[in-house]
Amino acid sequence: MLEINCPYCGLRDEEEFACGGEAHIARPLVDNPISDKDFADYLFYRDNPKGVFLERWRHSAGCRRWFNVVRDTVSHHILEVYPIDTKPSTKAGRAAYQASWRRQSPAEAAARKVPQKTRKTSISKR
Amino acid sequence: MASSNSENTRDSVPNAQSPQASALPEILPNPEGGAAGLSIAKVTGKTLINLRCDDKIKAKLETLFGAALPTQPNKVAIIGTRRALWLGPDETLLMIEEEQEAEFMLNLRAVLGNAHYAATPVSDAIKIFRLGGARQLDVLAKGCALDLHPASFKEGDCAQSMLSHAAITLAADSQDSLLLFCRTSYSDYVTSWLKDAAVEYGYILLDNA
Repeated sequence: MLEINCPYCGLRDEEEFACGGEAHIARPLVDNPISDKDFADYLFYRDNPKGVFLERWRHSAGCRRWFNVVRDTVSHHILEVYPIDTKPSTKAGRAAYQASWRRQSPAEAAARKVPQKTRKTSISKR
Repeated sequence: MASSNSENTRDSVPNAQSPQASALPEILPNPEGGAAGLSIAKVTGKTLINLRCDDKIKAKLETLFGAALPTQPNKVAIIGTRRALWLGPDETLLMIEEEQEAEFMLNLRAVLGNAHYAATPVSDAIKIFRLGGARQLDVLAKGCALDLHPASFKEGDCAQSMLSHAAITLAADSQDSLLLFCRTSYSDYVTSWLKDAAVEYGYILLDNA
């Protein structure tokens, strides 16, 4: 069993937690044009790497807050726990974040705000 | 059917047993003599309010509640019979006397006005028990992984965790007693589990504390 260091409650048993799967999946904004195939990358496709993986966890039987975890899926070693709205700070965590195919995906590009001008035209076209 | 209805009653079925037949009694004496190792007392006459708000709004409630609401994780503010338990960074559980509920809620609305908060009475959703006795920690250790030894879990500390399969909140209170909060629907399960776990130490079930 894992012992997970909840950012609020400290070390607790794994059975108190729920795993929320892959972290850092940005939702494409509604105003940005995106193909169905690219949207499927956001909605359905999840990584399952052998090695360092960035995951979301929730302390469901404790403070019920979400946070992120850098975990090695081979050794189950937890390398880092960091807040939900931040990026990993350890070397292994940063490398895994950068190496993910999502950083280059059209879905993630569509999750960034486009300049005000372009957005206005795309709304008026509808 | 060949058999008549009168033959088909419960009395005529061999070894018929009520599902409650194996239920443990209200009081089980300590097999080694002396006081029961665990006492379980229902705490009644309290109102529970689930308060969702940030630390700035918590600060505004200090005068109304009588003590500063906890901003540190897993801490309890204690003032008289009132308790305020930290449940999350923006979530607090207030325990006040039942007869003070109406006035407290009115004053809370007056103090907070249009601030961004939610105060929900949850008295019916949550049952409170006060645990005591010399062996209470040994009983809890059978179903809860937390270190509840007074060295690490003392008056003013609280924690949310699991007791066997039930989600519970524990708060260390005065005179080495523990307050146990659980869902009303789980309260029968929790007391049955506690009784079963305390058979070797003896237990006593009390109505109010």
